[in-house]
Amino acid sequence: MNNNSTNTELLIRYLDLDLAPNELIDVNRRLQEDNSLAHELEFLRYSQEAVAAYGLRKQVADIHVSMMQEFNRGAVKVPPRGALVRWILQVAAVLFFVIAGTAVYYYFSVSKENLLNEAYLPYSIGTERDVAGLSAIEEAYKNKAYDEVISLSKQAPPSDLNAGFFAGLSYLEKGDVANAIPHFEKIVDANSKAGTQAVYPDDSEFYLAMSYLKNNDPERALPIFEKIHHDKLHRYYDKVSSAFIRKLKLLKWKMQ
Amino acid sequence: MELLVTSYSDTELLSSLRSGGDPSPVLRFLYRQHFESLCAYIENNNGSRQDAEDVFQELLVSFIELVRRDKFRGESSVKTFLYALNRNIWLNELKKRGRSQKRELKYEAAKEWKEPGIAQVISGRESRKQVMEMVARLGEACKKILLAFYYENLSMREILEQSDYENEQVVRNKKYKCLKQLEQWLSENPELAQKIKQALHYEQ
Repeated sequence: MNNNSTNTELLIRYLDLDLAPNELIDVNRRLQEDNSLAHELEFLRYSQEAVAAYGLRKQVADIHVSMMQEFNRGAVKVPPRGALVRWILQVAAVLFFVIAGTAVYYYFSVSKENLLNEAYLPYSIGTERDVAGLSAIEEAYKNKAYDEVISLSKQAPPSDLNAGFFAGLSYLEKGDVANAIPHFEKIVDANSKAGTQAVYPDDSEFYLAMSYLKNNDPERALPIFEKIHHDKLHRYYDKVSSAFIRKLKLLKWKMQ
Repeated sequence: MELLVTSYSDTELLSSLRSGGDPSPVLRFLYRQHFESLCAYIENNNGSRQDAEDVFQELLVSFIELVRRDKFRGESSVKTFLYALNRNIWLNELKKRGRSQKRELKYEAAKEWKEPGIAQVISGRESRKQVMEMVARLGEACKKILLAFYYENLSMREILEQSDYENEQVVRNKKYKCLKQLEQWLSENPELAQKIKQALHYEQ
């Protein structure tokens, strides 16, 4: 380990309350004297806090799913009696026709194009990236020079997933879904095995699912969209509503 | 044990959250007590069921974090606080979407956030979202190991038993790299680091 990583390791152990008494005295002294070390400690502490906050959100989201199941089970258990039964049966009959009518309407109106119009949005490079400076391939994508993006990505090494991501997006924008899919599949696969840093994890999932849908393959798109729909922290969570999932299931059924 | 606990007084509920233990029983209790009525408020005010569910989850997270950071002083009952939080988060959401009625915004402006903590919840909403997006950018293996250590408070030995790593040192090295990755992202974006401080500490 070099000096920097030794310092980081000590700071992490400091935050984890894992230092021996003599090490603790030494680190405290160095923190008083070295501003950059104190700064790094502060950022490591924020990182830990961000992880804990993420954990709480994940736990609440998990409990939400189980509570919704509990509430739904509870609703089925209520035993209707007497006049209430007749009233419920009348309401149920009306509801049946309304739901059946709606289902028939959706069955005939649902289409790949409708779903794409509902949820698709072209990927845009955030304004904050301008400050850091864009790579040639990002700059070309930003200028909608999709052929140039594809040409640049072919010059990049196959391991360059960043270039592959923009190539996939460019193929998708050009309507060449067959070529877009392998790029996104490669990134999603790599991300599932990734160590410290995933490459566009949420974006690659969303655009892979979109590519499958555009390629008349709702069966492969559905599990990815369902994953996004159940992950409140997913960047595209807002794009994949319950209604969207229902329509996608209907489309899958219709296309079988 | 959870099944035996049917209700909490405010004092018991706050003390359970402050203890830092597993908040699941309290969360389930709050769902059973307040979920339907808080959802009804949103559904009666231009919101969908999905909006109502999202806001309820957000308010639970904020409430727990406020309690754990001693920012909830208990000047109002838990129920009053949750209802106020629900209303304010939803009005803020409507404002963001440009769909709030003038009278609602007027009410919101006139209210001056009488309940301590609510203003901090509202002002930090966007920043908290950015922080969560940053953690979400980590690879799955990193998220798993960091959550196990820093959220579930598992020991290295316990994490090793739940994973395929060869030994504790490998787990330790992996955890080091993952935390360092987050720290690097923050060093590259000090503005976000500042936001973390304000948003997760509920400061203004």
